[in-house]
Amino acid sequence: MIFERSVITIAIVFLLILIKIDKDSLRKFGIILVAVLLFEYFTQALWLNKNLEPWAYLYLDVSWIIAIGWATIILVSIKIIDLYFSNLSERRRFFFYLVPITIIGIVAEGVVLGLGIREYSSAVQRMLSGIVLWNVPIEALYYIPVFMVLVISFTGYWETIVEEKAKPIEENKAKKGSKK
Amino acid sequence: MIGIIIFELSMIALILGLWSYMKRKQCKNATRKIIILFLGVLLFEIMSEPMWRNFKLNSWAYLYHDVSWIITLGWVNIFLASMLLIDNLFEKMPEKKKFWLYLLFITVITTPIEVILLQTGIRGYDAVLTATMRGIMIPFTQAPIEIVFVIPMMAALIIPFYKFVNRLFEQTTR
Repeated sequence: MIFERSVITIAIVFLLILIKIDKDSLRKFGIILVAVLLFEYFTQALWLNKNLEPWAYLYLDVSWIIAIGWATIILVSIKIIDLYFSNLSERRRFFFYLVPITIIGIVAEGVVLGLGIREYSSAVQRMLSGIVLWNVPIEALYYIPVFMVLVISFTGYWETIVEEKAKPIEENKAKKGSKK
Repeated sequence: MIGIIIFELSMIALILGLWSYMKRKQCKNATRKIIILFLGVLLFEIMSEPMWRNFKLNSWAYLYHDVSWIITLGWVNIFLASMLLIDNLFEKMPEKKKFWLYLLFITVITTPIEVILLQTGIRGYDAVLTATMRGIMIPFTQAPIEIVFVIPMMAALIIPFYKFVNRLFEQTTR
């Protein structure tokens, strides 16, 4: 129960801070959450999310608490990079996003492994080399960036669609404003 | 065995056909686009490797464990053909609507192919994956119903990767 409440509290606190910086943060969080859930559903056979409260699960052991945890890590990392490296091209920032996400992701994975919330299926265990980095299999250094490349691309793609849709509305508003 | 070679060679022939079609249609950066899509599918295949088994292919068709570049090419062919078809048929349609059509086409094309691959024994599922299945089969087949849900989910992550990464390249080469 403490884990679930902590994740929800951390997500709300960071979202409130980020909304002050960028009013579209909640929408971005929603898009990231959809991507994370798609991925979690697709790869559910690989991971086991155990010992959470029954209300924390969506389907089998796909947990929305784990998903909002990932979504918070991703959104905060993207915002940090956008804030400090705004002069870089989008392509370079895309690769920079992966750095804080991988570091925070490995720490978070270590926490859920340590708490007994996360376990790997037998199929994954067969593939692991046995080398660990702070309690986390070294393979996470590959898996987390790959997972994130797909999630960040999904976010970037849908953000473009939403922004393009919003453009004519904003242009109309600006035209009406200038007529007044 | 001859059937496997025909399957492998047709995957290569199909991608070459799609590439030359894109070139004929003066599609910009056709090679780069195919490489990005191949990379997107391959990342996904390596990531989800413990869930699937690719049997019976010739040894040169495998990259790592049972990750096969021929199977990856097969996915690329389906994704690319679906996107080219939708983009040509519904040129003026907004991207948001086209996205759903991409998923529909990909699912419609892939489901029977996956059924054939399962029935011919080229494709198999690991026990950890079958354990999450409900046991309901697609009518008249031995293929799990989950295929119909999982294919659009996979496509919903790979298409944005393809489109977004291409956009990143286009921005910097402008």
